[in-house]
Amino acid sequence: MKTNKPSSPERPDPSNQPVAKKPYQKPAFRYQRVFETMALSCGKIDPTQGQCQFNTKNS
Amino acid sequence: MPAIFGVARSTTATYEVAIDIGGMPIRVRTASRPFRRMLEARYAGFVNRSCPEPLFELEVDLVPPGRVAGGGDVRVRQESGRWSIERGDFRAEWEPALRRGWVRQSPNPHSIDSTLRIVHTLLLALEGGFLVHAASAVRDGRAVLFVGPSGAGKTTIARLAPENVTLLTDEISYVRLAKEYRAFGTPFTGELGRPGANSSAPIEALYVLEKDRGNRLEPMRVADGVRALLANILFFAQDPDLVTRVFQSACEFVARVPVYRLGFVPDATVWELIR
Repeated sequence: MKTNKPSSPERPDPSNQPVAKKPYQKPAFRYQRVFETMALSCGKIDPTQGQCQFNTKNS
Repeated sequence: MPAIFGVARSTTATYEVAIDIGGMPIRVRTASRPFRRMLEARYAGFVNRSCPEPLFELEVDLVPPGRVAGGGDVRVRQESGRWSIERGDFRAEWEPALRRGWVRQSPNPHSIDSTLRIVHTLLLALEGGFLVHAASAVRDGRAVLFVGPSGAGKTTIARLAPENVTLLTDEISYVRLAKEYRAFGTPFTGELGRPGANSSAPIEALYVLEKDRGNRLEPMRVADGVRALLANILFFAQDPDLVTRVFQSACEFVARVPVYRLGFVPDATVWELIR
């Protein structure tokens, strides 16, 4: 005799459930600066600016 | 007759200054007497007047102010044994095999200063050392480094140093490896505007600066220490071999030197935490 076991709404049988495919997500690249590249004399401002060229106190 | 920037040129430099930073003397040659005077003033404590054998000579070709190289960003590359270094305000080449280098720039202190910093990063990378964005100081014969980006408190810590502390720099620390890691003084100054002492000492500890509501000191995990150190090491070259070496140097340094996170308030009591 064939018995149909009703599936409980609280606990669905995962084997009977259609597997919902997640949409493909392109892996994200995490960018992280590695080295310090700004610590030069006048590194933080346009070096061709007169302010940089003639201010001898700039680090 | 050397070739620079693809153009053969004769040597016209008549004035020279040997700038000896970290025990690596570089003789700078120029045809301009005012430029030589500027160099002597800016690098006063680091001018070596009895330097018969510099590591190499750097000839400065002065041109009128204006853009010298293409872009504003620094580019450092090597091709066939010749290093090319350029930023908007200068262009330099350096051939280690010939022990010669050339710089084209206007008569300003910042271009030559940047060239020197970059050349030293290359020299140090080859021997396991590095330049790092850190203040450093010597107390009781041992050096301590305070690393951190701009605004972290390097100059503040330097200003708060007690009298028995010798300041090596408030901006760029010079680290070399022999039997142990040593910190050397540099003329590369930050907001303090005062060059460091031209001396050196073995490194006792590295402190990663963090402004806080109180003073506190905690050891850092090795991985965190390497990450914090790497982010503050000056390096510019697009060169896989040297980049690998600098990575290895940072790992080696953290394996040998204790690294601490130093939270602090701008108050002289912070020095009580420093060994």
